[in-house]
Amino acid sequence: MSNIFKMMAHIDRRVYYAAVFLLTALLLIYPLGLPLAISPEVRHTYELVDSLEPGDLVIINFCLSASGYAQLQGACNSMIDHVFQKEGVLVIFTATADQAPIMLEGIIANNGELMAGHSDFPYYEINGKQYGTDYINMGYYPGLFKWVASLSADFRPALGNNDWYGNDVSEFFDSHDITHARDVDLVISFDSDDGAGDFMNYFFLEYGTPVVQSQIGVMVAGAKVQYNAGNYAGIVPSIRGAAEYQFLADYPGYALTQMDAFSVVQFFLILLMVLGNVGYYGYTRLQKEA
Amino acid sequence: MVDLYNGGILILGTVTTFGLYMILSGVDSPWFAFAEHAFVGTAIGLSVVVATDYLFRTIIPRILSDPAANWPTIISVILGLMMILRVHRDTVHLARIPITIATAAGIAVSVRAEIFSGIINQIKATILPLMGLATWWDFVVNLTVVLSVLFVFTFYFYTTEMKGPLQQANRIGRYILYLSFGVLFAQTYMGRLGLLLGHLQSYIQPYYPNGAVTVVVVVVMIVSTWLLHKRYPELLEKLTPE
Repeated sequence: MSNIFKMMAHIDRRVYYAAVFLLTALLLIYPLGLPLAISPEVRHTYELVDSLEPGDLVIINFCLSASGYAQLQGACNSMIDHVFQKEGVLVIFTATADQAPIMLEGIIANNGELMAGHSDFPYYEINGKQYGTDYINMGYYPGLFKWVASLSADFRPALGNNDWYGNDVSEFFDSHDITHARDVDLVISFDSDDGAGDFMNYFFLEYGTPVVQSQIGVMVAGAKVQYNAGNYAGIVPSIRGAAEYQFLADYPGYALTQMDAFSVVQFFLILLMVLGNVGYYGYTRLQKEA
Repeated sequence: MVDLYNGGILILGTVTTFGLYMILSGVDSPWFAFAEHAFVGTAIGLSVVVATDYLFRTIIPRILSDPAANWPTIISVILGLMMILRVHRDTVHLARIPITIATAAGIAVSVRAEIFSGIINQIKATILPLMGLATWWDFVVNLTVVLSVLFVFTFYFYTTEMKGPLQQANRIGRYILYLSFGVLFAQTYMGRLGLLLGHLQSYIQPYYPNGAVTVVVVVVMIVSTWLLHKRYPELLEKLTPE
C-alpha cells in the first residue's frame, strides 16, 4: 500500500505534461462529439449581433497579440462572418496592439476572397461586402486607452483619413455620414489585452454604445464581472465561447472540435490532482504511523 | 502540396512552439534558447517598425499639412522623442519629463471613467433583489452574491478585534476569497490549455502535410537535443546562453 501511495505522490511532472500533450492531440484527431451547453452570455451576444440593422456601424477592434491568437481565432472567424452576413451593416476594423494587424489580415483572408481585378490586401470581399464601400481596415493605433479616449472625443481626426495601407478612405466616412463616436452602434473587441475595457470606458459610459468582448482564458473572470455589472453587453469567453458561437451561427470552425479535447483534458487534470493528493496524504500518513 | 513559403512558416512555427514547450522537460535545449530569443527579438522589432510606420503614415502627414494648427501634435512628437534620452546617463533626467506627462495624462483620462466602470457599476451589481425573482435559482445566485460580499467585507476589518460572530464571518470571508483565487487560477490554467489546443490544432490538421511535418520536426528536435546532451555537452553550453 505504501508503495502505491509513494508512486502516486512521486509521479514525474514530465509524465503529466506528456500525457496532456498526447491526450490533446488524440482528441483533436478523433473528437468525441460531446454535447455543448450554450451559456446565456454567448447567446445574448449572438442575438445582439443578429439584431444589427442596415446602416448600423460596427467597430471591430483587435487588441490581440500572437500568443492569444490561437484561443480567439474561432471567435474572430465566426463573429466577423456573422457581422458581415448582416445586410447594410458597415464595419471599421481597428487594432490597438501592434501585432494585431497581421492576425486581422489572416481573418479577413480566411472569411473573404479577393475582389475582381485585385491581387492583394486590402481588396477582399467578405459575404458580398466590398472593401472601401462596406468596410475599411484602419490598422494599428498606439496609445491604448488614450487613443480610445481621443477617438470618443474627436472621432474623425483620431481615426485619420488613411487606412492601414495608406489609401485615402475619407469617402467611406463622408458617404455614410460618419462624423462622431455617437454614430457607432456596436463595438466588438477581440482581446488578449483589455481593448474592450477602453471602449467600455469611453464609448459605453459616454454614449451608451454596447461593447462586446471576446477574450483569452486568463481574462474571463474579470470580463464576467464587467458583464454582470452591465458594463459589457456581451462576452464570448475563449475557445469555449467560440465553440458556442460557432454552434449558434452554424459556422464550420475548429472551436467545436477543440471543445472535446478541452473538456476531457480538464477532467484528466482533476483526476491527476486527486491522484497526487491521495498519494501525498496517504504516503505521509503511513510514514507517520511507521 | 504545401508550397515553400507556407512550408517554411509551418516548420518555423513548429520549431518555435515546440521549442518553447521544451522548457517543460527540465533539460537545457538549444531549440528553447532559439525560440525564446527569436520571440523577444521579433516582438520588439515588430513594435519598432509598426510604431515608426504609424508616425510616417499618420502623424507626419498631419503635421506637414498644417503645422500651425497641429502644434499639440508637434509637442507630442518632441516629448516622444525625448524618451530616447533614457539611453544616456547624462540625459536620463530629461526622459522623466515625457514619462511624467504621459503618466499624469493617462491617469487624468482614465480616472473619470474608472469611477463609473470600476466602482459605481460594480457596487450596483452587488446590490441585488432577493424577492420577487422569476426562478428559485435566481434567488440562490443573488443570495450567494450578497452574502459573499458581506462576508468578504468582514475579512478586511483591520481596526476591530475579531471575536464572536465577526470572527466566524471573517473566516467564511477568507474561504470565499480562497475559492475566488482558485477560480482565477483555474481560468489561468484553462487559458494555457486553450493556447496549447489552438497551436496543436494548427500543427496537426490537416494530418498531411501539417501533422506529418510536425511529427518529423519534433522528432528531429528531441533527437538533436538528446545527442547534444550525450555527445556534445560543450556545444550545448554554447548554444544555450543564460
